[in-house]
Parts: sequence; C-alpha cells; structure tokens
Amino acid sequence: MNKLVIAYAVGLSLLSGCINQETNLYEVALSGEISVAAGSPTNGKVHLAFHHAQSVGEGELAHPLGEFYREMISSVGSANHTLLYPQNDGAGLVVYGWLDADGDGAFCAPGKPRDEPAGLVVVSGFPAHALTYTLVLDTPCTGPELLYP
Amino acid sequence: MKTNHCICTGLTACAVLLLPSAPTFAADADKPTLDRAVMDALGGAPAKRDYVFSLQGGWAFSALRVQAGLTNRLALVTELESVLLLRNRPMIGVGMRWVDRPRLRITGEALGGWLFQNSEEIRRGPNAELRVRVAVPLRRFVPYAILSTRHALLPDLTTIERASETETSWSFRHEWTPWATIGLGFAITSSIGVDLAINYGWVDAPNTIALPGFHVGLHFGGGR
Repeated sequence: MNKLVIAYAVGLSLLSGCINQETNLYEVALSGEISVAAGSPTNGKVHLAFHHAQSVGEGELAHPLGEFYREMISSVGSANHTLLYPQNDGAGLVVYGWLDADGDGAFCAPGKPRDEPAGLVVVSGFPAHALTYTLVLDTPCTGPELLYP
Repeated sequence: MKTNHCICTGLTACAVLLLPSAPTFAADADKPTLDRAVMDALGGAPAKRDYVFSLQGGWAFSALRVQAGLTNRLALVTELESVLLLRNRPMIGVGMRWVDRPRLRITGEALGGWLFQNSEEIRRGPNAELRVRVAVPLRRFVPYAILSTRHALLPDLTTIERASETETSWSFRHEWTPWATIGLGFAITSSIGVDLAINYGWVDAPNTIALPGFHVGLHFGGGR
C-alpha cells in the first residue's frame, strides 16, 4: 500500500512538474440587455465580442482589450451567455457589439450605408460567476479600439 | 567487352563487401578489429563486455552517448541529447543487432526518457524513440546511416473554476520528430574513432520546417 502511495506521489509530482500549458478558466453566467439608440437601424443580427479589459503589458505599457470569445445573436433584446474566461490572459471584462443592419455579415463594408451601430460596455462586478450588463449600440461604424478606454 | 568487364568487377566487389558467406558476431572474434570502437559507436550494440563512449557536438544537436554490451547482440544505451542547451533529452534503452556481418551491421534501438525544453515555448514530457542504424565498415572507414522516429507526449492542464466546483483535466499533445543521419566514421585506433555526419531532424513534424544540421563526434571504446 505504501509503495502504491509513493508511486502515485512520484507520478503526480513528475506530471505536475512537467505541465506545458496551464489554462485557468473562470466560468461566468452573463445576462445582457442589448438595445439600439434612437434613429439607428433596429433589425438584424447582433455580433458580440467579449474582451479582457486589459490583455498584455503593465503600467503605461498596458494594452487595452483582448478578444477571447465571439457570439452572434438573432436580434437586439435580452441575451444569456456562459463564458469561460481565460484568467491568465488579462483582467477585466468588456462586451462589444454591432448590429448587422444590412445582413451582409460585415461591419460597415465599403459601398454600403455607414449606419450600422456599435457599442461597448465594461461589465462591472467582475470577477463573479453571475453578472448582468446593459449594452447600447449607439455609435455607427466604430470599432472597439475607439470606444475603449 | 570492356564495359561488361567493369560491370562484373563492380558486382563482385559489391558482393564481397555486402554479402559475406556466413554471419559472424563480434564476440566471436578473439582479436578486436581496428574499427571496433567507431563501429560499435556508429553501428550500435557493442558485444558483451564491450563498451563505447561517444561525444558528438554540432549544430543544432549535440549528444553524449554510452553503450555497453549486455549479451553478444543486446546492449544498454544511455544518452543525453541537447539542442543548444535549450532542449535536452535524457534517454535510456536497449540496442539489438539485427544483422551482424563483417561488412554490414544493422541495429535496432528502443529508448525512453523525458524531454525538457525551456525556450520561449516550454515543452516537457515523456519521450520515446525507435531507431535503426546501418553501418558498412570499409577498413578504417565506417559509412553509416540512422533513421528514427521520436515521439513526445506533452501534458497540458486545464482548470475550470465554476460557481459550484473547480474542475481539473489533463490533455496530451503529441510531438513527432522523424530523424535521418548520414555520416562517415574513421577509426584512429581500435579504441578511438571520429565521425562527421549530416543530421536531418524534423522537430514537431509536419507543423514546422526541418533544418539540416551536422555534428562531429569522438568515440572511445574498450572492454573484453
């Protein structure tokens, strides 16, 4: 029995001492309310991108945003997501979305009306396993880099 | 007529070199041959009570290897291979002579060990290799070739922190390294030899590109 325990311990220490990639994921059940600002198109699928608020670097060299997950929902309104948040790759949680008003799958493609609205929200309260957010798509043809920080 | 004579002479020479009449094991020979150390180092599997120590340095692979004969056909093989001190591979295993003739030795080797790579990309895990050596001694010279397949298992750990519990799971990635070496050994004495070879190791094939390399080796042998 002792030999078995020792063999197990040795095996475990060998294995744990030789991890190549260690991935730590944090599960978040996220409930959102997505709306469009007055005057913008309202019909179409909504493309959502979930970002770290800060992905790489520290201090003045800290780099904002870092996408880790995408999802598309059929229309504006309420949405529920279960995210596996990569803890080693950054901090904070940001949701960015845009409305595919013309249904071409591209955000403000050349030659199309430049009225597809986008928006971004920093999810407050993170880290927590259950969170809510409200996202208003109110800025046409704008990427997340211009909306945050 | 002259052409036919040349062909006949060439075929006879090949037959003499490669197809001697009967197999002879090195242990059967009372007197060590001049190429014994370098032949054992490059052809593999020294005979019982023989040993050989090899030091091979080059780009990008270098190696230390010790082989000791356990029986007339089976030998213990230990080696430490390093790529610029960034990727190290200690291994232990056995080598067995499959064909052992005065002008041809074919040896199969099976080794197991651990891979330690501490470069920008960390790679660590159990490692195994199957290797075939072919050596054709020609007086003091020993042309040789090696073909091998190397396999490493790289363990990854994933932890998911849920509201109710924390889940941990292991997964393993496979790294395959096909390998080929072609080289020429030279016996200085029966116990000292050198070699020069070209290596072609394709680490993590087929996801990467293969870079050819080279090594020079020094071999010391003894025993009996």
